[in-house]
This record gives sequence, structure tokens and C-alpha cells, in this order.
Amino acid sequence: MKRIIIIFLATVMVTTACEYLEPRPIQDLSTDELLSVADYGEGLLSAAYRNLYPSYDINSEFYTDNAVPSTAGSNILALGGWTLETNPIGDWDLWYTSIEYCNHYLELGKDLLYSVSDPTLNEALQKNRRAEAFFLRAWYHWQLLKTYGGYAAGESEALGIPIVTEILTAEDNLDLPRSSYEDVVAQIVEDLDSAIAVLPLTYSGSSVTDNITNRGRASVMAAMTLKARVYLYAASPAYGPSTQSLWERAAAAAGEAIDASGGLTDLDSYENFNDFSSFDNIWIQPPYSYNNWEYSYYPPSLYGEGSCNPSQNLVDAFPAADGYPVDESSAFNENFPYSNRDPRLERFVFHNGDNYNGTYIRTYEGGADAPGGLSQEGTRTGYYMKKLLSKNVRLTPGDVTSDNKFYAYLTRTELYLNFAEAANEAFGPTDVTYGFSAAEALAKIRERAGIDSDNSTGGYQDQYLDDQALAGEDAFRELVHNERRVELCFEGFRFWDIRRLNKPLNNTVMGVEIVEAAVPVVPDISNIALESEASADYVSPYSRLSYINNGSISTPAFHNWWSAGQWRYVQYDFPSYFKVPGTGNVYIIDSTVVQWWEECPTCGVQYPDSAFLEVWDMDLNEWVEVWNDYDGITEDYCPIILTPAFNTNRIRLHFRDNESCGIREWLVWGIPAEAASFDYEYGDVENHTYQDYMRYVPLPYSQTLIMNNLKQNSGW
Amino acid sequence: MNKILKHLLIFIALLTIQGIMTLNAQDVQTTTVTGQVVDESGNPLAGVTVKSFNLKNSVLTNSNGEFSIDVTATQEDHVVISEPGYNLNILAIEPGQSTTGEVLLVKTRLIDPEDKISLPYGSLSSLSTVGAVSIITGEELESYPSDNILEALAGRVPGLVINHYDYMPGQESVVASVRGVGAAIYIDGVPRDITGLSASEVERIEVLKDMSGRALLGLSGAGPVIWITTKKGESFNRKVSVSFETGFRNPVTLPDYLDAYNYATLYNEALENDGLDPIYSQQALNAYQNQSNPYRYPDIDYYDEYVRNTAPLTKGNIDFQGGDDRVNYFSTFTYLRNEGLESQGEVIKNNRYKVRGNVDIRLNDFMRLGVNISGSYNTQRYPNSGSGSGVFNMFDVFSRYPANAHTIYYGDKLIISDDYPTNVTNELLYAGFAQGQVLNAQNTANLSIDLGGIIEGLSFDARASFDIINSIIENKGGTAALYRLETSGTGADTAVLIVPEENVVSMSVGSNYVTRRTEAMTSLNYQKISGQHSLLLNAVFYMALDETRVTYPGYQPDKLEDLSLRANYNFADRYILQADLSYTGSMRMPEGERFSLFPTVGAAWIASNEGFLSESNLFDYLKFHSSFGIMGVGNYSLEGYNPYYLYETLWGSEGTWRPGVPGSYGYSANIYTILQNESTDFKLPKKRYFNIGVEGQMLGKALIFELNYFNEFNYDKISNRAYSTPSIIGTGFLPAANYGEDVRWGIDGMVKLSGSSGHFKYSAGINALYMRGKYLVVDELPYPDDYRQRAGKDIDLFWLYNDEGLYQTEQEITSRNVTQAWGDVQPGDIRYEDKNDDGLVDERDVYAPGAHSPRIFYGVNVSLSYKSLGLFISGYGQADGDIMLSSDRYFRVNSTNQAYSELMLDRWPETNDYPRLTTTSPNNVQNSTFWIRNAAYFKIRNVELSYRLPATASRKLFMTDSRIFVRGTNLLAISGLNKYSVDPENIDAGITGYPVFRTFTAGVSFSF
Repeated sequence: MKRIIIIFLATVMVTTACEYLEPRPIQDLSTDELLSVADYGEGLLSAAYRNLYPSYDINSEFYTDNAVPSTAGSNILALGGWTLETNPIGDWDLWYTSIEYCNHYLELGKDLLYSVSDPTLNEALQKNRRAEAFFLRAWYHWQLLKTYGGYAAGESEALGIPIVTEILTAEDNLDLPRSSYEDVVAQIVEDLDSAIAVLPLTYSGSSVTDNITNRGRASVMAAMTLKARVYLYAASPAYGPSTQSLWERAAAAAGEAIDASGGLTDLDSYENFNDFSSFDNIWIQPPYSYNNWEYSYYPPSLYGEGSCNPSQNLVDAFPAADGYPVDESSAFNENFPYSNRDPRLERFVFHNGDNYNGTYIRTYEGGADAPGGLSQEGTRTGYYMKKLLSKNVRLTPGDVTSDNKFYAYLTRTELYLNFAEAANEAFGPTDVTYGFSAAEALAKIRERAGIDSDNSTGGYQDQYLDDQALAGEDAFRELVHNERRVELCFEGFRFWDIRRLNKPLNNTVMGVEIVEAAVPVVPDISNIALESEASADYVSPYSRLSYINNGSISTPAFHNWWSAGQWRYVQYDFPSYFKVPGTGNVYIIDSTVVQWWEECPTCGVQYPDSAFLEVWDMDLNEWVEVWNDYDGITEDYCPIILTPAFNTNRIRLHFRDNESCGIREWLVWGIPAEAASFDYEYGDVENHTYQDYMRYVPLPYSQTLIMNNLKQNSGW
Repeated sequence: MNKILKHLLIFIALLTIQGIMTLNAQDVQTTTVTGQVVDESGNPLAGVTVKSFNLKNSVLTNSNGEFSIDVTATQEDHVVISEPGYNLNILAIEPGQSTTGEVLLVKTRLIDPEDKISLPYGSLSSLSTVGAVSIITGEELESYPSDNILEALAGRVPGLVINHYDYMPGQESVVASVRGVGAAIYIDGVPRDITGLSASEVERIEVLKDMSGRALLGLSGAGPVIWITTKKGESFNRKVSVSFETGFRNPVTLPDYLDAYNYATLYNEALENDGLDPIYSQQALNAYQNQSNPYRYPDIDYYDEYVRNTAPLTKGNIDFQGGDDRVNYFSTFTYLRNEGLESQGEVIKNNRYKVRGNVDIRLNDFMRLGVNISGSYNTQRYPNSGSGSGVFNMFDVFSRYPANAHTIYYGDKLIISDDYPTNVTNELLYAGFAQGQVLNAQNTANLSIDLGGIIEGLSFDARASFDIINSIIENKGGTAALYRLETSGTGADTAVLIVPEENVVSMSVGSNYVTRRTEAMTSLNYQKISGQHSLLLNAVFYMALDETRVTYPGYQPDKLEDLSLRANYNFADRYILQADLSYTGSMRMPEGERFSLFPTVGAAWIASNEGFLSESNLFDYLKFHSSFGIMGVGNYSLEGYNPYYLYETLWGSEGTWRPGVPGSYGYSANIYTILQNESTDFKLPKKRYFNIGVEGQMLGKALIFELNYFNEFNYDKISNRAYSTPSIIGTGFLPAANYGEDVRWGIDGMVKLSGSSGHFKYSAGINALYMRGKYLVVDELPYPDDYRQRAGKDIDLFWLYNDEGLYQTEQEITSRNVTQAWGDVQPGDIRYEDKNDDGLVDERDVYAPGAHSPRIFYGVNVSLSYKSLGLFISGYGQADGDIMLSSDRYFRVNSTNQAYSELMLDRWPETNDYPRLTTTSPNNVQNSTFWIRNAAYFKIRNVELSYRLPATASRKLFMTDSRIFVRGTNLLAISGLNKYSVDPENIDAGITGYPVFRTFTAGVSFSF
């Protein structure tokens, strides 16, 4: 019997060997397989790239006086709902994970074979990728330092975070202490210097390693710009005494970066915040076409959720068109609070009466974008965020479009502002130790913005900036800080700026309620070209029509090279304006200014030999000539007064030259004949209630429990 | 697949014909046999049906229990004596025999020491088992009109708890757990999908609660097993049974939501509480109230508009069973149809057709062949959600959309709004539909060879089975044109087209999957009885392969390979010893370590067979039993880890990253991320299971009882210790480790009393489970406060803030001077205990104040009959536990874009039952004791009232037995939760998904 059972079992075991239980092979790689092919092994580095933040941190604006969210929740932290364990700020785990990938790449990926046939290329790629890994390791250490750096309980020196420059394993002692703030800065700079020594300046070259297909990778410009930022933070008062040498170090780093980029050049225009061909966007996320941001942030009438509502505080921070703060400007009229403002207000914020792709935004009581309008919530402040959104995106059902989008991690704009701030603190507004002054750097920002304190002359005039620069370091500091707030709004800077500069954490966030005025108020004359639709019979493939009415004379000019001897024209159609129901759409045009552009007297684009201006007569249904000059234009500034003022909705400018003509900006001064008018009532929306200890973000509570050496920031 | 069905149908037709053909054998010689039927006390039984097998005639016993029936005279015949409530008795009548003498009918009992208990790979006599096994017959479950037989098991077996998660017709989700652990369901020895199994085809169900019963299943037997055996047919007892019932179902309860006026008023109140401006003007409120402009100010009652009161249900089956000394057969055909509650457009419809054929053939003196074939074909049709193939769940919409969300129609235009983008009329009428077919075929062949010719007591069994499930869902989307109503300012309303009409003509395949299960089993069995010694040995080899047709590259089929041995020794039916050894393999261990050996031992003592007790009349039967076993757990998982390759470091491709820009994207760089680091010494997680119990019969077999204590210790669990390891190591870089221990223990038992008095018969039973569990070692943060640690505390605790009622005054808030972490509080907000007294209520104040999930589960079953009238009542309930009112769509309403329930009328300051309304503060939606309620309930789950036609009347209709009945389910619930208009068993039913149904049916059943 026993024998039979044994034979039976033996037979069974032999016939069904253990292989039956072998699981199917999987496509995941072992470490050896991963490192056997460079395309795989580089995946470690790509993973670190992939973990970069996907978008601007707009939520952090809700923690400041810049904006509130349309629905409650994401602002809870500013309302006292910030606890140790629900801290929404920072991504400790993700950043340390990314550092771990960088370290894996640096240690394991040393000998990846990129090219068998070309040893030079192989070496170049090995060196470049390695340098990128150093850069990313610096970047993630920076993210951690920016977020968690500060004073720990019982410490007199600002602390950073644990530095990790080697692969960690579960067997290692993982209870690492926080290094000092300055030690982390040194580690970051060391890694950045390793990157700067190897990487290309920008990816505008033509070789395999520096061409445009690497646009999203780290470059020398990125590393230098980051270095300038890290030093600026390190010099800021929140992390210790702001010594002269720290500010000098910050100014020097920014100055060097500006030098390396080709000097203090004009800034490219904003466009739709998505011009990846502009290297003013120093380091960007690789662009893709999508429209999620618009779905989130467009107002309801544009079929968005309108989830970010800029505050009245922010709107008030925008100067008037002449560059003066609104309360000091003669250009500002409180009955028309959105007219004659810094053109950035128009570009960054949706306000009542704003015309966007032909739709008027209506945040007045009863309007589609007001609270209780199309969406039950609507705006809580009377405004919606517009910056970072693209006019090319329509969400109209049945006609939905997308546009290229990216997050610019590092920009020349920020670099200029960093320089202006640091250089002012180090040497004052007008010192030119680095070849250019803080005031000059800030002027580049305000020039691109379109500020002009003197309309009567061509070119950029900025009396207020000049005054503040002359008034000295303190006055200029105020201007720089305000400029930083306005220029960098919605990009996630303000939350950190408030903290590093020890500015007040708590503010009352304001909004506006708008109701139709009982007695109509006549608006002031403004540049209605900004709202008009431009057309032309010919645009050079090297130029853009939009340059003529983008509100900025400093941006590249429109031109029609090459049009030798032919009459050409540009035309404005003034859209139906924001009006009281039942009236027509006629503008009263008072005057117009053409700012011609001459490349040089002998170049291809010149001032015209002949020009004339026509206005559409709405009664006769025909063009009427109102001005001409067949003697040849000789200067760029060309004002034309219409006497009497003309009622029309269309205007056309003809010009001719043996070569071609260019226009920097074509302004049209006028008013809508019967625009709607409103009363504005300003009120409180939220009171922020931070505690003092909230100046520094707490370390993740869970980690402080596990890691005995991890000192928590004081107060938490 | 249709072919299989066709073959099955032919097969069943043949069986039926065989039954009819024997009717022709009338011209044989007959003779008369007489006898008397008595019960165990020797009393004659009157009106008992007596049938002769060959001649197919039947008679009834007279008042003295005597009968006289014709049988064939020249060949062996059989007489079948049957009476409901008694075991069947089949007598062989030899040629020339003229009397059967006194025939004893034994009452059917739950515990029958003579009975065979079906256990995996070999049955044991009830006397010889050492474990806790509960048995219920299919017949007992037939009174429950349902789609899923598991539902009928609720409250019927001690230790077994049935949870019902989804009530949507065709999508029901019913899960069985035994002693708190999910149970595996085996049908005829094979793990199988129970959907579509009807009570009429079930012989009986054994619930294997401890390790001794299931150790031979290897790793598959780590958890409890529900072992279902289908009917086979009995030799010489031919029967055709037909049952048909029809009726309707309606929701037990539906949630109550506010009308537009009340909603808008309360929403304004919520905004004002938050310091915000109200958005509904007085003019709007008036319009909601008097419905002067229903387009702009709609007031929709969705339940009136879209939910019908009743949905029909129909169920029928016909069974054929019987056999002779060579062949036994059972076959059935079942039909079921039910519908959903949609009152217009596409209504959920669910149809099921089921056939089964079980045949057992004696091939020769020593070989038997059994074939079980079952096929079910299920068709469903339902409104689909969006253009996909999921079911459109209208109840989910009703609980989110306030009555004023938007009008349904503006003129003939369907309206949606920005915040409420669904128009239910569109979804039901114009948005297409989906239809699904599920084919489920289960096939098994058994071969038994008696090897007694070689060695006495030796036999060999082999079984092969092949199951296949094929599910195809096709759908067709589409939409009517949808408009947004723009009511800007004082101007006229306009409807702006938002979604253009879309007509989808063709169907597209939404999902199409096939799963197959193939398995093979061989066993050698040896039984030796020598005097008072009885030894039973089983050696089993088992292999199974579960596959799904998928394209997912990480997919692993489920493969099992087990070698198991059992030895059961019985001395004089008094002392029993059993040992089980399982040498079981796991695909998840590295090569060379795949097989592990797990032992189980058990012992039993049948005290009632000892001299000292058998003399007394107190116990008819009394048995103590105990078992202890260790088993590996094979189906563990750890999120993010590949359980099949834990011993390797794995890097996974996570797509690509293109560093370039549009027009010059360049090459795509691969992204590789770590999936897991290798674990060098990972072992199978394990459990130790201990059970000790007693069972018995008393009072002249009128009372039966059973009581068990169990203790399950889980150890070497899988964990990556992510909570206790610093995260600077990076997410994903931790290896899996054996870490974690917990213990679960409890008692379950039952007691049942039955008896009769004249024509009145009764039986009443109650069963109950009490269970606890405790974490011993668990991966958690090393909280400095002991009250936050899980280890050492019960598993079923709720972790909560402890509420101290609602703040009543501003003054109370200021004087308390404690910050609550969710922003400023106001009177009417919940006040929480500051457990650690740090002046701040935050996560560090969360603890286990004592509330826990229910620990007692019980069932009550009562059966009464008087003459031909029968009444069966079954109920179940739970006690000693709590439930949290968690739904933020009903109890904890606080966000914008949200319907308000009628409960909100009782908000603070009206009453202290609910906190003040708010649209911004999350203070009140925290999990706290404020929302804890007593979870106890008792439900009258099932009632059947039946009338059995007198046997004489049945016979006139050529039937041997016929009944008419009315049945109901979910008739009554007693619970403190009733006042919220929710079902205590599933408080989210009707809010997020389909409501719980109450069922009424009426029907007939008869056999001939």
C-alpha cells in the first residue's frame, strides 16, 4: 500500500515539475537590463525631469492677497486651516524621490553607452546628461530648501534640509540631520557649477547636443539663473541677517547670468505666454498643445470654471498707464478704473467689460460672469485670471481649440527682477558696477509692459521710475517689490516673496461689486486700438500684424518687407463695445498716432514716401480720406488730429515706399459713443489669519516622527 | 459557446425522453406489496406518499399508516416512501416479495451523525469530522426570490455574513464573509462564479469555517470556503418539479431632498453664515415657491419624474431528476427576469437563462463516471453613461442635483447648466444604451475507480473541469441637442446650444473578455475498517490554471499546484484524530522555494457514545471537536509591487519624455521608474487557525446546538514599512518585507428547537457570531501619543475626533480659546475635544473613542405549519457596533453645487441634530463622533406563506406534491437609522446608487 502511494506521488512529482508554477516573464527590467542600453538607463534621468512641476503654482496665489479661489477649499490655509499634518505646501516625498533618481543616474549611469560608432558623441552625451543630473539634483534640493528652509526650534541659524548626494538603501542610516541653510546653498551651487562647466549655453545651436530638440533640458543659462535665484533667497532677511556681501553675491550672480545671456537686452513681448522660440523663457517644460488651463480659469461666459479670482489688492497694485501708482496718477479715473492703466492689467486680468475674442466679460450684478450668473459661484472678487491663458483657445461647444502651453521654470523677466532687487540692496538703484544698474534692469520690465509717462513723444518714457531711482534705495525697493508682484503674478512667486522678505502674512483681501450706474458717466479718451481687430493687405512672413496694437512700442515692429513701391494698408475694425442695451456701436475718434519703424535709413524697412489715412463713413458706406502726407515721413512719431472728431467703427492707414514700411505701434485715441457705465463698490472678501510661525513651512510631520534628527521649524 | 448550449439542450431532452419512455412498460406482470409506515416513536404515519418505481403508480397510507401498492412481479422493483420533513426511504422489492413490513421514516435533522460531510477531496462521515462545518440544503433556500443565492444565505448559517454592495439589476454585488474573512465559493469542487446558481439546483452548501476542513486546498484554503454541491438525482426516485413565481420589487426607502424653495432658502442661509452674499433674491425665492417662471426658476422632484414605484420580477424553473441502479441524472432549466426603476426611456432589463445537466453513470462494477455541465446565458440592457458602456446611474445624479439645478425642457429644448451638466431625460431617452451578454459554462467530469480488487479499501478518483466565462458589452452613445439657458440681466431668456445632437447608428464593443479555468485532480483513497478502528487516507494531487484574455503585459494567469495528504482515524466512534498535510506551491516565490509544507491537526471526542452518557437520556448526541492548522496566504498584494517577482529589483517603463518643442520634438526619451527593490528573504505570509467547539442534540433530538470558538493569528504579513521608514529614500525604493501581525477571534453558534403538536409543527432557530480583532504589529508612524497608535488596538475601531456637541454662542468659542484646524468656527459648528490639550484641534486629536463596527451578527429562522398551511420567517441583524453617517450628499452636506437633504431642515439653530449650514468651512465634515450612530438593526428578511394542496387533490392533478405560495423580502427593518429614510444595512443605497429593494412574489410549485 505504502509503496503504491509513494509510486503515485513520485509519478505525480516527476510528471509535473516545478516549472509549472513559473510566472510569465514581464516587460519590466532588472537593474542589469536597465543599464545595458543607454536608452533605458537614461530613463532614470528622464524620470527626474518628468517629476518637475507640471504647471504654475496658481494655488499658492490663494494663500496671498493676490487672489482667492472661486470655490472654498484651496485657500483654507490662509484662513487658519493650516495644520501640521495637512500641510498642502511642498512635496517632500516627490523631491527626495527625484533626488534619488538623479543619484541613481549619477552612480549607475556613468558608463551608459550612447553611441558605439561615434566615441566623441558618446562622450559628449555622457558628460552632458551627467551635468543635467547635477543640475536637477540642485533644482530639487532648491525646491526643498525654498519650501522647508528656516529656523528650527532652538536654532539660531537658519536650517536647510538633509542633503542627499548618494544612493540610499533601506539598510542605511536614514535618520539624516538638517544641514544649515548656507550648506545647502553651497551644495546646490556646487552642483550648478558642475553643470555650468559642461552644458551648452542655450539649446539654439545645431549640434546633436545643443539643438532645439533639447529645449526642455538644463542649460548653462538655466543653471546661472537658478544660482542667481538661490543667492537672492539666501540674502533675504528671513534666513538671517541680510548682509552686504550676501546681496553682492546675489547681484553678481544675476549680473553674470545677464551678461552670459547677451547683456541687458529688451524683453520679448508676452504674446500668449507660450512663445517657446523666445529664449527669454530660459528653461521651460517641453510645450504641448492643450486647453486645461483655460477650462479651469476662463470665466463662465467663455465656458471656463473661473476658478482663480484676482483680488482688488492686486488690481490696485497695477500702476496707471503713465507708470505712477493709481493714487498718484492724473491719468487714472476712478469712474473708469480699468482705463488708462498699465497695459499689463488688461493682459493679466479679466475685468468687467473686458472684450476677449469678441465676448464681453460681465461681472456686474446680473451679468453672466457675476456670482449666481451662468455658474452658481461666479467670481468672488469681480475678476478672473487672464495671464497665462491663450487667446487662441476657444472652448465654445463645437468649436474647441487648444494651444501650445508650457510652464517656464526660469525666465529672463525674473532674472532682471532678481538683479534689480539685489543690485539695489547691494549698491543702490543707479550703480553700474555690473555694466548696468538696477534701475535699467527694472526699466526693461516696465518698457515691455507698455508703460509710458509721455504720450506726446515716441519711445518709452518712465518718469516715475526715474524719480524713484533718484529717491534712493528705499524708494526704489518699494517699486521693485511692487513690480515683482505685478509682473510675476499668478506664477507662484508672491507666497515665497512675502515670506523671504518678512512682509506681513496677513491681509484683508478685497473685491469689487459692480452695478449699472444710475447716471451714465462719459469715459475718458483711451487707446481703442488695443481692443480693435487689425487687418492688412500684406504682412511679411518675418513679422506679425499683432505688433501694431499690442500696446508696446518696444516689441518687434510690424513690417511688410518686401513691398517695393506698392501701396499697402493696415486697418482697424472696432468691435461692438460694452454698451447699454439698445444703442449703436460707434466710436468717436479724436486722434491717432502712428509710430513708424525704420530699420535704418538705408535698410529694407524705411519711413514711407507717402501715406494717407481713411475713415469709414457709416452714413455713406464709403471710405473718406482725412489726412495725407505725400512728402515723405521723416520721423517715427506721427500724430494725426481729426477735426472734428469722427464717428466710425473702422479706420485704415495707407502707405508706400520704394523699399518697405514698418510700424512699431499704431494708437487710436477715442471713446465709445454710448458705453455702459457702472458704479463700483469695494469690499472685503477674506481675512487671512496666519500665525507667526507660519512664516516657515513645516517639515512633514510624519518625517519628524520617524527621523529623530529632523528638527521641526519653530512654532509648529 | 452557443454550441455548448445547444448540446446541453439536446442532452437534457434525451434525459427527459428516457423518463417518458419507461411509461410504456404497462404490460408487465404485477403483484401487490403491503406495508406500514411508522415514525421513530413507532406511531403510524398517515397520508404518506408511496410510489413504485417501475410502474410509476403511487398511493397514500391510510390512517393506520398502511399501504398497498402494485409493483412488477418478475423483476426487482423499488418503492419510494416520502413525506415532507422526513428523510426519504427507498426500498428494493425482490420478485415474489409481498410485504415490506414496518417501514421507518426518520425526521430530517440538521445534524445527522450518519450523514456524509462533503469536504474537499473526499467526504467524511459527520461523526469523523474534527472541524467546524455548517450545512444548509438548497431546499431551505428556495423561499428567497432573488437573483443570487448568496442573498438567501443571509442569517441562515452561524458565522456567515452576507454584504450587499450594489442593488442595480444585473450589477448586484453580493459578498460572503465567514467569521469576518471573505469566503471562496466552490461549486462541485471548483472555485466558480456563483452568479446564476439557483437554489433549486443546489443539493447542499457546506461552510468550512476552520482549517481542518479546507487544509487540503493548500494556499487556496487559507480563507473560509463555501462548498456547494449540486443535485445528482436519486436512484429509483423519479421527479419532475416545476416552480414559477412572479411579482414586483420596490424601493424599501428613498432619500428625501428639499424642493427648490427650501433649497434656495437654505443655500442663502449657508452663504450668509459664511459671510457671503446670498445669491437667491426674494423675487427668485417667490418664483420657486409659486412656480411663476418654471424655466428660470425650476422645481424638479427627480424621484417623481424618473423613478417608477415598482419593477417586475419573474422567476421559474423546471427540474428533472431520477435514475436507476446504473444512471442518475439531474437537469434543470431556470429563467429569471428583473428590471430597473427607470420610469422612462431605457429601463434596466436583466434576463437569465440557465441549464444544468448532471449525470452519474456506473460504467461497470468498479468504475463510475460523473459529468456536470452547466451553462448560463445572461443578457442585460441598460442606459449607458456618457458614450461608454458603464451603466447610467440616475440615483447618483438625483443626490447631487438640487431641485433648481436647471429646468428639464425649455420649450422642446433640453437644458443643462455649467454646474449641472447632466440632463436625465437626455440620458434615458437619447443617450443610447448598452447591452451585455455573459455566457458562463461550467463543465466537470469525474471518474471513480474502485481498486478494491487490488487492495481492499483502495480507490482512485480523477476529475477534470473546464469553465469559461465570456462577457461582451456593446454600446451605442449619442445625445440630443443640449442647451444652456442664459438669463442675463433683465433681457429675455435664450437657449444657447452647448452640445449638438449626435446620432450614433452603430454599436461599438465596450468590453469583451474571456476567462477560462482548467483544472485536474487525482486522488488515491484508502479506507480500512477493522473492528473499532477505522482509518481513512487521502492523497490528492491538484493543478489548476485560471486565465483571462488580456493584453496587459504584466498579466499573470493564476496557477495552482498542490499535493495533499489526509489521515483520519476513528476509534469506536468515540475518539477521532485527523492530520492534514499540504505541500502547496506558489507562483510568487522564487524557483526552488515555491513549495511549502503546512500541517493541520485535529481531534474530536463523541461523548455521547461513551458509556456514561449513552445511558442518560439528556444528550442524543454530543461531540467536542478541535483543530489547529497553519497555512500560507497566497493571494497577498502590496500596492505598486509585482507580487510574482518580489525577489527582483524592477524598473518599469513609464512612457516617454520629449525634451523638444513643437516642430522639433526630437527623440522620445524613455522614462524608467523603480517599481520595487528586491527583497532578499521574503516568505509567504501565514496564518494560524485554532477552532474548538461542541455540537449536539438533546431532548429527544428536538433541540440541536453548536458552539465554536475560533482564533486566527495572521503573521509575516506583507508590508514595505513605508510609514516607518524615512521617505528621503524615495518612493518605490523600498523592498517588500514580512511585517505585520494581527489576531481575530470570536465565537459562533446556533440553537434550534423543533417539534410538533397534532397538526401544528414548528421549528425555531437562532444563530449568532461575535467577533473581535486586534492589530499586534502594524506599519505605522511612531506617534508619540499612545492614543494614536494602532498596534494593540482593535481592528474595527473608528478613528475620530470626539465631538462635544455644537458651539452655541460666540462667547463659548472665545472663552474656550481652542483653535480648530479648519478655519474660524461659529456658533452651530461642531466642537471637538482637544485630546492633547495643546489649544489646537488637529490630526493629533484623532483617536479611537470607542466606536467600532458591529461585532454581533445574528439570524433568526422560524418555520410553522398547521395542516397544509406553512409560514416561514427569516430575519437577521447586527448589534454591538456603530456606523458613521458619512455621505456628504445627505448627512454632511456642505459644499456648493450640492443638493440638500430634508434632514437639513433640522440644522442648527433649529435643532442640535445637524451643524449650521456652510459652503466653505470643512469643520463639520470631519469624521467625528458627532456622526456616529448605533448600527444595530433587525430585518425581517424573508417571509413565505404557503399552502400545500392535500395529497389527494394533488394526485387528481397527476401531481405528487403541489404548493402555492406568496413570498416577500426586506419586509421590515427595526433600526434607529430608519428615521433618516435610509436602509440600515446599506445607508448609501438610493443615494449614490440603486436603492435596496423590497420584493413581493406569488407563485406555484409542483412536482410529478
